[in-house]
Amino acid sequence: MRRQRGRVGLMAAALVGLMVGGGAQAQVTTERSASILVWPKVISDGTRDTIIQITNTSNSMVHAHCFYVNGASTDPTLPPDPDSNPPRWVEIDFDIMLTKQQPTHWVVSTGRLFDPEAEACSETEDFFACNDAGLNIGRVPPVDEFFTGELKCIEVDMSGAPVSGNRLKGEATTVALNVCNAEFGECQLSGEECEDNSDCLDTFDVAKYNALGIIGNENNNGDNVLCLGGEPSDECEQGAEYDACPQFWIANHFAEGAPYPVATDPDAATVDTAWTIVPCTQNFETQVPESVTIFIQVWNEFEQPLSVFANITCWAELFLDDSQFGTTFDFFTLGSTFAQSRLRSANQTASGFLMVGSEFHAATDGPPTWVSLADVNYHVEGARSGPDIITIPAEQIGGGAGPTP
Amino acid sequence: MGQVRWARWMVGLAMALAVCGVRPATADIRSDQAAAILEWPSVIFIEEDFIFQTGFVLETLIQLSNVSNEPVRAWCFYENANAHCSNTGEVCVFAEECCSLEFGCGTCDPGWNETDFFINLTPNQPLGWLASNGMSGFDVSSRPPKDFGEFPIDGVTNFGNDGTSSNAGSRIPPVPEEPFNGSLRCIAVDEDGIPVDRNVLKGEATIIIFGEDEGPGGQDVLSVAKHNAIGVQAIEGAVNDDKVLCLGGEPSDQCPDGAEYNGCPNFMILNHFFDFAENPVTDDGSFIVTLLTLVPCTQDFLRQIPGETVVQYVVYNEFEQRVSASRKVVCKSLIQLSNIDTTQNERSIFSAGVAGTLTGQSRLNPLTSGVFAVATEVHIPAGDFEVPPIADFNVHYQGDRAESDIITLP
Repeated sequence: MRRQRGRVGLMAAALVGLMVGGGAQAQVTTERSASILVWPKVISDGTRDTIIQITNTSNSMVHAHCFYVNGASTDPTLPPDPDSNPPRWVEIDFDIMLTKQQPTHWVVSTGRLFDPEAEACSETEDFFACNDAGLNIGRVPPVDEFFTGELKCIEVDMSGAPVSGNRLKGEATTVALNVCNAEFGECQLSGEECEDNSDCLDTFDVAKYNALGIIGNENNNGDNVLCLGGEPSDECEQGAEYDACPQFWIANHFAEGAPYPVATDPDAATVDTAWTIVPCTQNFETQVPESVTIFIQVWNEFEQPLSVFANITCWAELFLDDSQFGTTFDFFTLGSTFAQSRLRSANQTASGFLMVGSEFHAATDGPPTWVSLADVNYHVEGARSGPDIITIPAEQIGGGAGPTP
Repeated sequence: MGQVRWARWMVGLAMALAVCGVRPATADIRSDQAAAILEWPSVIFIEEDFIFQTGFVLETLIQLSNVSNEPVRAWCFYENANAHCSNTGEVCVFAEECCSLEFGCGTCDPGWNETDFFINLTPNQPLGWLASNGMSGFDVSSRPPKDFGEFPIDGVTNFGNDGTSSNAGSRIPPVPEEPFNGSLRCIAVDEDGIPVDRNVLKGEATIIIFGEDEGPGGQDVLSVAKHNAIGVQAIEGAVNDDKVLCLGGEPSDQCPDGAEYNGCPNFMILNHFFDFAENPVTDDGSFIVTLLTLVPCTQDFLRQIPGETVVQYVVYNEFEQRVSASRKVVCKSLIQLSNIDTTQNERSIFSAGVAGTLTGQSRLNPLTSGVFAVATEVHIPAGDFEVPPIADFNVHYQGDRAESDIITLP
């Protein structure tokens, strides 16, 4: 069975190879169509929700097999703890299909459950509420009530075998809601005192980033072990089927607590930076979460370097003022408003990683506080020498990849 | 009230912003890797009181860094795309702004001129400045913490780690006008100002709307958006020492050696909400419009001739239905999607009511010159609001143009 699937995959790979042409570019991209899309930061926790956009950029139909991975704590209302409140690491998967050049979208808290009676947007409707209008892409399930994790979509052929068509692009829009934070008794964005949501100003904020794309190449054998970069090996007999994960990520960011440059009063606002990071290697068969040790070298404006390490497992949103970094990113440690950080997997770490950044700007002219956020894609440099491997349960890529009924 | 507010903001943004209207075959421009040429298409500065006498300032924070272990020099050009009244010289958007009792009525003429400067970056050095202030002088202490707006390494009392590099000789002027609508382009050069094939520059722009609200509390509010500068990578060994930079293309009279830099893209792919699509998260009547900024790749800084091109837009909705439109771009265009094909937004092919779905894919094909592009989503809350949430994002690229785009330096 597996051999047969492999043959189908090889045929598909050969066909796609003809279509794709050209050599493989050895890098993750945020601005080219790709065969694997990763949205590292997908949040739906009552204070934030996420709109996913995904598009077929080609003139032929595309199928994709997608995974949600939930990195939220077992009890999200309590502080995370490796022993008493570990992360869930639960994945759910589904299939979608897109006709030629078709864009689509969904809100992760509600999914996209095909409604055959959904009407197209109309000029007569107020603000054109027509969320479900569009061709059927399959059934996208809603996520858990408290979801903080990633979404990954892998291009497959009609049989369900991974292919290197490089025809997918995507975006994520984070919508931060101004809801009442019961723990602190204040509104999430506008900072007013509150007892419930009705006490909070009716507003919200948005941030957007491009999905990270991993470009497939001609070597894709269509089996359930996806090899990102690297030379031929026991696990990856064909060598790299997809471009490698980056060797370095380069992040330009504010120092924590730096004077806010726009206001006359430098203390009128602050900027906090967070990095959302997921490992490149993932085993959806064993469900064993991958851990990555990350080496971070930070340069201030005086060209003075500092360094620090971080450990992440499966998924993490790391704030630069987190205690694990000490005062490394602090303005008075760095001594300048801006810094450049270069991140790489530490030696002896088996996996690379993917990341996206978020800035939280907060006006702080005494309470209440007003918060606005901006997401940003970071730069990449070089390619990892060793392969990163994504393992999909064989059954998930067999039996066709039609839309989930 | 909310309707009036969003209309005010859109008109304000439009007024302020929309003035003036070797694997070379596969390697083109990128905003996620370091490059030799960086373009920030959207550099904007509007002081307080300009937007309907509100207390908000709209500012652009520029970040630029050297990702290499060697110092690098950047030659940068602010491109001023403001239009001006023919009679008073004031910045204008519409012709009616050029009518006064004293001077009569003039015309609102598109303009384009550049201001250039040099920045010396030491190895791995990050810098940042405000468009309104620029960066000049050196921190007197020459030790951390550094004052914002001043260079850190003066080359007299302190040096880079190599013992010789510094920021000496650098000066970043403020943008030349207020309000300012324009762009910024930086090119890696050597000590003599000759372009070099060093792909070591990376950059970002943060658009910040900041000010005090009109409520009784006078609370500070803000809205931010961030995008990467667009990079054009030099082809190793291909950059010659003249001041005509050839982006892509085959050998020609202007580019006898062929491409020195990667080509501008043949297609740009923009995933977007159709204008006036209801925000599917808030689901309360708040809606979304998208602003698109385009700057031609070709610019003649020597003769002060702005680039121009025609961009074709092929638009697909979620039913796979296709429509298209075209529009000319001269020097810079910042335009709401539903104003690309008409002045009546609700009749536009980019309007959700016409398109029939919430989201779409637009493929942009520039014809006579390539373009750089960045998009801004403006979310208009349903209720009363002070400042609209905004989000920037970089577009996708596909292929590179067969013809060269040319940047001519003074």
